[in-house]
Amino acid sequence: MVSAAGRGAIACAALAAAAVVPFWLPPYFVYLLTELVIWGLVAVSLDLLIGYAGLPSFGHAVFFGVPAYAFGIAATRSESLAIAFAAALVAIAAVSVLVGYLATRTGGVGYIIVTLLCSFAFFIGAIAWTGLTGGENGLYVPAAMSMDALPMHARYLIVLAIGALVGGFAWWLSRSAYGLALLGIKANERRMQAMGYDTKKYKFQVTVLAGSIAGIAGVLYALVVRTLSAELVGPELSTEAVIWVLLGGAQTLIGPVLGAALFISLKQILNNIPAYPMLLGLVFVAVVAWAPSGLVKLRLPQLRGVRTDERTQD
Amino acid sequence: MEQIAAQLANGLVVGTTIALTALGLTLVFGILHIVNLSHGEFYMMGAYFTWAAHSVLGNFWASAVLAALATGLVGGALLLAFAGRLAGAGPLRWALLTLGFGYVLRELAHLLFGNDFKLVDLPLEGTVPYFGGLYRVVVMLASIALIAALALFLGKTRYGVMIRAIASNREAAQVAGVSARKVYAWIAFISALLAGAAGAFMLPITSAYPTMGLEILIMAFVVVVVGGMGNIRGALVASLFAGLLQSVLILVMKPSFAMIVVLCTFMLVLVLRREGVRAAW
Repeated sequence: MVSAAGRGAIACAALAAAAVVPFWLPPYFVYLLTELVIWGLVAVSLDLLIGYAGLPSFGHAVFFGVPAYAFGIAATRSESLAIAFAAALVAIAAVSVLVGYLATRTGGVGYIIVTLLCSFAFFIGAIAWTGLTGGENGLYVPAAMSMDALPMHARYLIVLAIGALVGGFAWWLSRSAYGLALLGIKANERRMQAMGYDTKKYKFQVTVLAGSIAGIAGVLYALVVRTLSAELVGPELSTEAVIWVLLGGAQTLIGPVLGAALFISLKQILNNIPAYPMLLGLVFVAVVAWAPSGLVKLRLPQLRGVRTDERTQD
Repeated sequence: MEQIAAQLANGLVVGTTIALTALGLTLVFGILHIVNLSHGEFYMMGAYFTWAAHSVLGNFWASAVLAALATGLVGGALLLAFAGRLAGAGPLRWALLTLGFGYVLRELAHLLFGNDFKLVDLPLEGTVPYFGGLYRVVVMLASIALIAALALFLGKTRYGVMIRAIASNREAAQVAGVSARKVYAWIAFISALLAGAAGAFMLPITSAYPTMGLEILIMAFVVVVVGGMGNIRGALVASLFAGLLQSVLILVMKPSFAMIVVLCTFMLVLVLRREGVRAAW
């Protein structure tokens, strides 16, 4: 076990390495790394829900994709970056409150189904409403409204800085009394209610919070990648993100980031083989059946007094 | 006017199909606690099995029965094969596992049958006044008969009593000598069989293609949630309503928008009527 200070030092060293090492990498890899940081942010936000609050969101792509689309749509229609950012902010707030409200209104399993249905609804909508979203052709954020003017490394460093900041906030939150309360709700909601916690409020709040973090990632995606398609709000991305979290190990925050990096790298390599969907399905089955606590789960010390064994949660 | 009547009749057919699928979903959820995201692929399996059997046998109805039974066996076995390994696991892992099944089954269908539509001729020609095609009416009646048979099975037979006993209190039922294993096997089989039957019935209408299960899965989940999870009667009412609403809306808008309107309507129901959506366990 590493002490808290030791872990802090390791985190700082890793961050410094992540900032410096890419200067020796070719631009294409820096671009991939930038994308990975964005996906890592999505994984972190989803882990707040799955790993800490025990809320299995199967519609996380909605939180990510809708703000990205809002930014893109505003950017193509107005010349002002301020308006685009404002639209994205409104979208982040609206979508996380809406989905959070609907999802927490139902009991445990309802959360899975309602978030998944939201993802489907937005996916169908994004394809059908061609006038707004470009439909199946997708939407291109104009170069002037993106980070394209900046050199690749600058883009990477900006994204990394925002990612580190938001990720650090998530880490701080998970260690705070608030994070402990979430773990308590995950382990035994009734007992937390008996202790006077308004568990519904906590669940709603953490959904909005995680949704907002995913929304920030979505805006970064629009700024860096610039091509938006309906898949960004769809169930496929939503469920894939759940696999990132499980693959890396839920309730570790850093695990899901590594899970996302591993999964996406493998996808880049295997994408062209013929039976790719079959392979994807088998990965899902294998992870769930044989590696339920994650392949690369870091041995972080368990919090005292809080039982968080996944098998006991329902 | 005629168009509306025809769409209403079509809505009833779609509604009963959704009901068949949703019933299987709600059964396996209420008793096995499985969120089955591969249920739509069981539906697809039923359609493809019917098509395959039809090309050998030549008789649609015999093929449909065989296909439903085969889907029940294959789908049920698939769920039960992992029931031991996932014993006590939360809904999250079941959802992901069955999602994986879905990917594999869709890709298998793609590899075995190709991407094109597999169609069989309507086994019954002719029309019924106000209702449209005779085949649709027969399918609707057959679906209703299946649902009634299920209700009788659950309500009146010895096995039905055992199933309900396990559903209401597993430990007590087991102490009284009910085999949970047997009940689980029955439920997994029946659930997949209902989906397979729905797929078989829809084959002459929609034809079979690898992704056909997605839309029906969404609709089935919507009605299961809105009807009250694990609540059979609620799911039935919600199915008919969903089928009718969707069919009528298609008259005035694109099918995908109709789907969104249906989804939004049901979400609204969810917001207004929370007791209907409480999880049953």
